[in-house]
Amino acid sequence: MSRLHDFFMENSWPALTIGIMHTTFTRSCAAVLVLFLSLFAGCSCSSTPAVSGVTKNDNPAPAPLQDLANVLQGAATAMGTGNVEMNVEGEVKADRCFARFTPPANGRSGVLQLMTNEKLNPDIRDEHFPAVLLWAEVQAASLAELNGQTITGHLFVQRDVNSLLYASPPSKPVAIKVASASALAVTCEVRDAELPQADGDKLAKANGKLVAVVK
Amino acid sequence: MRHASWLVAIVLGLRAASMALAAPSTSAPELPLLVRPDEINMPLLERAVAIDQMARQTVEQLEARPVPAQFTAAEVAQVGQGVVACYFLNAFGKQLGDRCEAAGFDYQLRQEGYRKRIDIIVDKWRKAPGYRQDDLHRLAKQVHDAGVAQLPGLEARIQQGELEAVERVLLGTIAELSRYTVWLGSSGNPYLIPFNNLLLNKVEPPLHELRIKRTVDDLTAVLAQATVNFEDLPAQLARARADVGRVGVAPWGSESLGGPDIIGRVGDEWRRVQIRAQRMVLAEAARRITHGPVPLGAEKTISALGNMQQQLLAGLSELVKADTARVPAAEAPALYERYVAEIARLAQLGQRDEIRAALEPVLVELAAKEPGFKTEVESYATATTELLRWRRRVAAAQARHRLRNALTPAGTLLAIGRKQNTPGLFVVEAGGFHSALLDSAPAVLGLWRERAIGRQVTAIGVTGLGGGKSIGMYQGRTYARFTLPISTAVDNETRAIKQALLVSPGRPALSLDAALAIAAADAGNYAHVGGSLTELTLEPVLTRFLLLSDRSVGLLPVGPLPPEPLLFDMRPQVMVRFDLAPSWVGHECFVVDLAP
Repeated sequence: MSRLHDFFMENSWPALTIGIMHTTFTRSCAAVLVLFLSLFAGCSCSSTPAVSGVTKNDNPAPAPLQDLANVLQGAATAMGTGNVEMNVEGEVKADRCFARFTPPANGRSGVLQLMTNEKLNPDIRDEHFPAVLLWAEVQAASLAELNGQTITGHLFVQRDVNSLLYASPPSKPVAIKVASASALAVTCEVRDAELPQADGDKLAKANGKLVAVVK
Repeated sequence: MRHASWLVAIVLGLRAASMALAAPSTSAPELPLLVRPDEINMPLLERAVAIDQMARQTVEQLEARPVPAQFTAAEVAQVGQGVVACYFLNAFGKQLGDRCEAAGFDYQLRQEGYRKRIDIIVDKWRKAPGYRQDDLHRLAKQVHDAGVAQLPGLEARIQQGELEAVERVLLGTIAELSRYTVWLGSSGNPYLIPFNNLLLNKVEPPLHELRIKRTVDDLTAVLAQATVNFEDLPAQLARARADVGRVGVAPWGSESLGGPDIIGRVGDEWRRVQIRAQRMVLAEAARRITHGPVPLGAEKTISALGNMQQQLLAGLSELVKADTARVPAAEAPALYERYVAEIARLAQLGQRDEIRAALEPVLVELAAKEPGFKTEVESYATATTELLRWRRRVAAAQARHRLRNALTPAGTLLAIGRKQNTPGLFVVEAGGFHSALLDSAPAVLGLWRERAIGRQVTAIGVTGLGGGKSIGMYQGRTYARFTLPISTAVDNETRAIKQALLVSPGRPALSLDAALAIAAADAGNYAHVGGSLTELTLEPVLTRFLLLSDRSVGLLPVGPLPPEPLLFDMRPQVMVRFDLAPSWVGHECFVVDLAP
């Protein structure tokens, strides 16, 4: 179990796990499936960094298996509401995260958004804190195309309703690893992303993962 | 006696050079407050400026002198010069006050200050060897007796209506007497009584009445010149709407314009009406001269302006609806993009939330004319709404964080302007205040020069005027003025925001929300600009706004007029201009430091 645990937490596919761990049922099913798929994919169980900084798939599984894994992960995540596990000058945990993908069209780039608010433009009273928005301009025509890519975008984190607000400046986007992406779910990771505090003077480092249900 | 007459003649003959663009500031506190440059005010001001200079220099010279080794006629003459200058400064100040000019109140306050300083000198110099009060009584009696001999003739001239001529003679006599009575304390008062009695009982009341009537007549002319019919613009818009709905264009002035261009013209006129309304309200308040009930005319203007704004918002909405009904589906996307851009520009003038609330729904209807475009607009909104919301939230938090150490101009005035055993512009009563001349402009500005210059201040509601020149809106009796340097940092953030909003040449913003942010960045309109305070300048509220050009931009956003305490005497009310050396810029979507 410890090796399996290590695998979930440290392998380059751990994105599969977070959204899956919402229910006992999905956790156990997914664990078996992931193990199965990873063996078939020839994936090592040794620890590797979650974010590599490259712009292509880091450890690509054979395409059919990768697709299947994404679908399974998406299905499992979709049964829940996604989650956020990050650290930005302190723990940032949320049990909800939603993805919106707007494909490129009419000469405009596409946009990938992962957010803790289910609705766009919510009233502050309806907003859950900590609140997070990850926003990235993309050229991919589909979510699946983003799978494994490292893209640049903007990260916004507000830990408390009244304070502890961090954001990347407009001209200084951060690197975002799309650990997995399917039509049902998206997982993104950030590592050591520099986020200046808006309501303070700190320069925070953001680390962690967002697993989102596609809206 | 001849010497004294000569002195009075000199003082009365003083004229300052051109007063154009003068205003007292921390770097030049002695300059006069702005006055309406008419044929009555300017001669009064030119005299007051020159006499003020004489009084100031005289007092400074007196203060620089040690107590005289021997009290002689020279000491009487030197002190007398200051006293006579003060006397006339007060007289001309009073007349300027009757013209509703704060400058008049300022000169009266200045002379009070000079007189206090002269009294201190007189107290010291009385102790000088050779000082003999009897001599001063004798000199005062000579002037008194000569003046009394003239009184019957003056009475006759009053009957003949030669009030101003008699006033000049009496002022001259009293000023001459003051040269001696300043040394005599209350024992000198009897010499002044017959002249003051005649002046105060028979000359000044009718003259004051005549002067106030002339002032009211002049202000009535100002009011007439400013007056607008608040129903004209909504009516013109309604007529245009009918034509646009029929053929897509409408006559507007000498042009034939489509709906989006008409919105631009409505903005120009709306801004002009806003300025006119401010002038109308303040002219009404000024015509009342002193304190009293809010003039009915001012209340009507405030109400009519509010009604006009409601009618305009409804009319603009109807204009877009009429154009939507007319336009073929294939042309709807281009028309939508033009409307979004023009409405965003209109909202830069003020009333942004109201304009957005009124026009966003009809823009949705216009986009929906072409189903494919409707989808494109909805996708655009989905892609950009949250980014904008977070960007604004972050920028607002950054600005708030900086405001902890850099108050707004109004906040700074609250911090430095209170009169607490120091020169100031207000005392807080029952939780409120309005800034007025409680002390002379040089006294207030002299204190501020020591205590306020160099402070960090954050201007709000900033409008770009072109070339980096910018103005922070009038609020709480303050406004800001500064020039923003060319900044790579600002350019980078602006470019980044445009890119994030998926805007590029030929691909404009497809939501009003995004277009508002972009229009603000393009125009150099910022929510905040912070920097160090380089200069403070006092300006009279009434005169500043009565002279405000119809083309003025940035000082008065469209919307409700800035609140003024119209129950009070508006004449001594002043506002403060803050000149800043900007160090950071706060757009609604980003905050960035300017290069040092």
